[in-house]
Amino acid sequence: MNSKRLLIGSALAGAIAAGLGFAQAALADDAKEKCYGIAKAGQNDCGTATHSCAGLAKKDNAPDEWKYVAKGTCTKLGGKLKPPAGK
Amino acid sequence: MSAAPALASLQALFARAVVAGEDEAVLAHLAGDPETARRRLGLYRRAILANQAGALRAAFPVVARLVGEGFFDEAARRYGEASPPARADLNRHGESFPAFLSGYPHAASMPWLADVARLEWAAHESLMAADEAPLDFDALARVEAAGQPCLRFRLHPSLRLVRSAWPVLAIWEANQPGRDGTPDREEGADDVLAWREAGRLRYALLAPREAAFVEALARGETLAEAAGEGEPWDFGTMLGRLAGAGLLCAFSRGAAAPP
Repeated sequence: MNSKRLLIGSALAGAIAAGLGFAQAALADDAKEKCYGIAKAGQNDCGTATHSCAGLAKKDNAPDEWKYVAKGTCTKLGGKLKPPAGK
Repeated sequence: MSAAPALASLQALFARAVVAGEDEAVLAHLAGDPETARRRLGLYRRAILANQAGALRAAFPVVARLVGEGFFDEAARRYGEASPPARADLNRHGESFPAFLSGYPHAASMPWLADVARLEWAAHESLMAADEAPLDFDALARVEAAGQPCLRFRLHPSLRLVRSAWPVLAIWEANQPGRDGTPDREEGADDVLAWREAGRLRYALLAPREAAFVEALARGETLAEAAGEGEPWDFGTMLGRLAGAGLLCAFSRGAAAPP
């Protein structure tokens, strides 16, 4: 417990100094952030922006077979992702 | 046309018609040609479902891109029917969409999809969470050594942790605008910490014990409990990072977690 207490003391000292931060560690590549926040702000009026032609189609959308087949970029993952161990 | 029911029950019938497609009950109370009235109900229904799907697409852009438009719209429609928005704010619609996807039979070949959705919802919530100032570090510095192991922290309202058995962060990054959807990695169990700083989403990949540490702090465990038993490790760096990112918002000592 004593060594743990020391560790906690130095951990707190580090936290108080607060010189760390993730920016240098995990977000070195600023490009990764894109403008996510800005894009989100632009979508915040979704309630009005999507008052759309889609909603005014003549018929209820019947569920068609093709709507059950994923056709997006998931194909880029192919079968390459391996199931996690223990699954 | 039968006797008009009270407004509240008429509204409830209307809601059943547009949400669940049960037109007949409300049609009995609508004036004019029933077929015209039925078509008009359909307009409401489709406009509402399209709005819900639009709100989901705004919250889950990566899932939408992964599965494509037709698949996403149909999943959104079924989800909207099963779980209509509980609140008027459509930004809140979609909290249980990841759980819906994990049980959606047509997504069974994409077992990672629900976790990608969880990550997107975490980011979405993080961006909408309340602001809160960091704690008083001078006061923290005055806590004597004996009291330090019993410190508990309240973490920033925008902090979210998503733990997945899949490389969800790699998938998420690969499907941001400007990327072609091919992830940098194909393996990995990603523990992703997300938070908001200066109005922007930030995120970092954590090691499993770092994630467990943050999880424990978020549950209100003491610093000593969160550090865990067994082999001492450098949780100080993690605590320092949390502090540096402004994610430690209050502390308390002893039995109770900070308010």
